[in-house]
Amino acid sequence: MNVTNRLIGLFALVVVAVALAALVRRRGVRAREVTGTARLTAAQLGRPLGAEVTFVQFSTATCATCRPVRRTLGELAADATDVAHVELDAEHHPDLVREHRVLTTPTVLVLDRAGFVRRRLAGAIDRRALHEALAAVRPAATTPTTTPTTTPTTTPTTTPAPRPGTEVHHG
Amino acid sequence: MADAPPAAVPATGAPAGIDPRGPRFAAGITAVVLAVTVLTGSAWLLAAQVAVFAVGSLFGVQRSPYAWLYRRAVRPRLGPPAELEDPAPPRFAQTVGLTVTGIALLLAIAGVDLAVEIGAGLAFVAAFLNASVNYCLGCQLYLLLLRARPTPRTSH
Repeated sequence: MNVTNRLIGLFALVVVAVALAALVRRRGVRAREVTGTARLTAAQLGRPLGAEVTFVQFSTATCATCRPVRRTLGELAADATDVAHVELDAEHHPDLVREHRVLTTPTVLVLDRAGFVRRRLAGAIDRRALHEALAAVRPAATTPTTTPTTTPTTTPTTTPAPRPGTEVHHG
Repeated sequence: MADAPPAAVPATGAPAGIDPRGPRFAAGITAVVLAVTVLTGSAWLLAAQVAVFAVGSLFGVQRSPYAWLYRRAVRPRLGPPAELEDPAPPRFAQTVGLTVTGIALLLAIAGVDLAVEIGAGLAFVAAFLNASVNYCLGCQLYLLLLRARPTPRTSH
């Protein structure tokens, strides 16, 4: 194979790689509303659902972006009593992975209080997308059951504990 | 499926973690080495990259020569990392790279035409995606492999 052919071959590879990189970047986070009867139960999850919202995160041991998602969801669940976070290792839940057609990790399913899937997030899931999904699935602050003492509104700014990354000055 | 969920995910944070810019830097070097491999068709250069993948896969990414280069030459010029990363995913990516380039090298030794170029080309695309947009192709394949596995192991 001569030099020209090799150069053409490499050039083609670079074009393909750049196109794929652009595609990955452009897709970003894929968040969509789900209207169906897909449902997850406490029995399937192995733990109780959140009172209002449950985040079900599918992860794998080889997934680099699962860790930041886990941290954010952990914070959300710790900040609000009506939110739960359940992380499932895809490797150990092949049945759920198939049933909910999980093709990539992390995939986050957002369940309402009855366990119905209301939102689905995949790809480059960031903090903002998770907060938006929470606000969308959680019933508005004007729900009949509102008791002003307990229910946090959509902006969880009244956090008692300092969050990691927040500057805290003592003394 | 009782005790599986949290324990299997490295939720314990795997001691401290590594600087995530290290593996991306390594992926950049890998992409350059593989591009030169495609350009020259050199099986020796491919063999060198196979050896690098093997070290990263067997002993962890921190032991790879590219990680050493990062620590010696690049890291001192940068600030501390914003956050640390679990070393397991990049290590798995090294294993995928080792598999692809290793097979290509064996085929090349067996006399298969263009084995070096094709193997290096595939690995180049993966390394490029890792370096440029932090996308781990091998990690995505992992889940697809899991899904394709015929016998669902519900108990572990």
